[in-house]
Amino acid sequence: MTVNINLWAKTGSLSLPGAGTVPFWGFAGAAAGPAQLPGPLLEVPQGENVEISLTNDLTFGVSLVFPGQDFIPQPVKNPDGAFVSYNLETAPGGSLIYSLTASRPGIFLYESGTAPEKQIQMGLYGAMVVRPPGFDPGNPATWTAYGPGTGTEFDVEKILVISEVDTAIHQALASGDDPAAYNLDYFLINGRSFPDTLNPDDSGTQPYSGKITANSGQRVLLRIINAGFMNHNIRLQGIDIKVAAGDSRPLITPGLDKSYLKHTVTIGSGQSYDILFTAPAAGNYILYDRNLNCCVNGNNFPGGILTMVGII
Amino acid sequence: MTVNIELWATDGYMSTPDGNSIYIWGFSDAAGKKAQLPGPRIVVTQGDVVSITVNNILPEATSLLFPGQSGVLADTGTGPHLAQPQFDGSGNLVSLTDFADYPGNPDTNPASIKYTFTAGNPGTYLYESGTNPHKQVPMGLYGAIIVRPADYDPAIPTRKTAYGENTGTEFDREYLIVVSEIDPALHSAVEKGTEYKIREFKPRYWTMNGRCAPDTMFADGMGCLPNQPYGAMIMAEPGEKILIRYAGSGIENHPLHLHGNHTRIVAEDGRLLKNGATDLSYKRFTVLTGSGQTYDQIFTWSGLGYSPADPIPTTVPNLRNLGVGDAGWTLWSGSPYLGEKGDIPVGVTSFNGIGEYYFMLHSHEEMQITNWGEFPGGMMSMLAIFPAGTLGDTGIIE
Repeated sequence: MTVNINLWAKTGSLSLPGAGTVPFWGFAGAAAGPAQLPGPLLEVPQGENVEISLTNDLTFGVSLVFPGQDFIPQPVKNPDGAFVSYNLETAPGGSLIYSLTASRPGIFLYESGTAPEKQIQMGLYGAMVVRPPGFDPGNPATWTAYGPGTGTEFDVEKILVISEVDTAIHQALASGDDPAAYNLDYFLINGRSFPDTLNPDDSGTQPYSGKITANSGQRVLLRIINAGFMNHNIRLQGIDIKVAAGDSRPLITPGLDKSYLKHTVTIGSGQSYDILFTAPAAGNYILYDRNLNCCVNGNNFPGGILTMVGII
Repeated sequence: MTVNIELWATDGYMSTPDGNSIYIWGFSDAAGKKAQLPGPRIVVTQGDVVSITVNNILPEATSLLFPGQSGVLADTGTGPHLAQPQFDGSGNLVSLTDFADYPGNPDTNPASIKYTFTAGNPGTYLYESGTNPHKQVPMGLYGAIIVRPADYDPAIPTRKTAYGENTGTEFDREYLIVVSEIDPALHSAVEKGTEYKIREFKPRYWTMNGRCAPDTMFADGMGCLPNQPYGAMIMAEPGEKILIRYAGSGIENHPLHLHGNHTRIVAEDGRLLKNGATDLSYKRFTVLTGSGQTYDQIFTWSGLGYSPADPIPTTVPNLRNLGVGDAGWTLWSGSPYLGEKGDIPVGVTSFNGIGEYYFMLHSHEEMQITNWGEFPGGMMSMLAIFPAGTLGDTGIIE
């Protein structure tokens, strides 16, 4: 079977606390919809052939790559041999279909493979969840991250895409200038900086809330994936977290449990961790970047990569 | 058992080997004492009910987070309750946890707060400020906690462990190394009350236990370092099990690298790397010590063919793995090793009268082994191997 997905690459405008609006490039899930950060969350069943039709509304070439997934990139070079893109480009105004096989369950990034030092910083990334066999969205009894025997049953799932923004670079690239040295000044969970991370889901350009809500005793699965340039040390204060998978490789397999407990997890750029915990007593538990310089908006604390796990 | 600890959040100065004196905020263990860097070591036993009172005499509110502890209660005089992020009346987050206000601001909280938790798991932990942490933690408001396993008994070798009997964590000597960075511009701005932009954070010093090399290699409690009481020199005898507890209290991650030895990481963040019979411990030559995280390692130095039963000189370790400098600077007795002294090469001076020798322990981000750009310095210390029977009770944290 084939899952067909349509994405549009567009310009848009981010709202960041204290920075006003910041231009960005992102993916939209509808021809008339806004570019969003991160891009639309894609959800596909394991084993399917996934065909993503990308329509490029930007004024330069864009492509898609799927790190960790089963696809065959076709790198592009200039006639003189200079490297252009990690995968075939969609020309401005054109569209192209990118295919992959969702051969393993897990949490993955999709991102531009063209001028990634600019296009990923500008927002051309999103997350894709591949569901294990037997996963039925309507039946909580079937909810696992990696299938039976992987110890990843959950009641509440939250996907957290970590990234950063350099507002000066965004302004420069949006006006066609070349970027100066990077000096990241905004730090994002699901495209938002604290306190916006706490706002509920909406239909704007940054639609995904960063807040986690669960009932005491529920099994919570956090799927944290780093789309940014930096490594981030994500801490959940006051709750032991079990690392159940790294880069979508489950650590528990039948007969062998390699999961481990932590309170702070260093998530390298491009990496993901699935972490599990049982919701403790009611209260607010902070989830933040222990690289404390990323808990700011510009120069102001609190901000950035900071959110709450609200246990009811 | 109930353990009551009092800390004072106050200020002071740290010294750097290049002659600088840097204003710090930190914790002291007695009223009227200056802040020390890092804060006082807290050693408790698994199962203890630990109460830590913070008396704040800083000009702004402060607090403590206890990563790795759960169910921490806070009490500012109205009774204990689950420590929680604090918001002001407008819904703005003002502290990551309940805080002690600054003296003279009685409108809100008192200037002291008592945190209480049960030390549920053995291991190595940090305590650190949760109020303006981007400023207060780099200023020095942090320290480490060691939780002994419930069955800990230093008189019984099988129970002198980091994580309990039969966990494979027996040790003979232990060392705690808390690593961090210093941006003097931040410290100066706080001292003078001037503006500091966190986006311009640029460390110039890198510390082990609050000291920069070569001060890291001085003993504990040196009079010339009154506010930096903890040395970072690791000393052991051949064949001993050495437990090193790394804790990253700074902003950045640091790749800590011990020449000539691979260490086995047995626990992270105070959680044993073992699931039932499955041993998840692993060996590293360089341990990327993530900020806010802890790494407990155990290793044995056995030398190149050395055994305690046969302490006859064998092949001298490769000079690249020793602490060396120009001729005359080599920290090596010149003898093959460990008590059997002999002639030393021409141009080499012996600084180690007992016949010990040294492996460098340092951040592999080489800029961090300088003091404001001058090598050697910063996040560097040594592992010194001494002849059997010469060290006494060195290397046990009280």
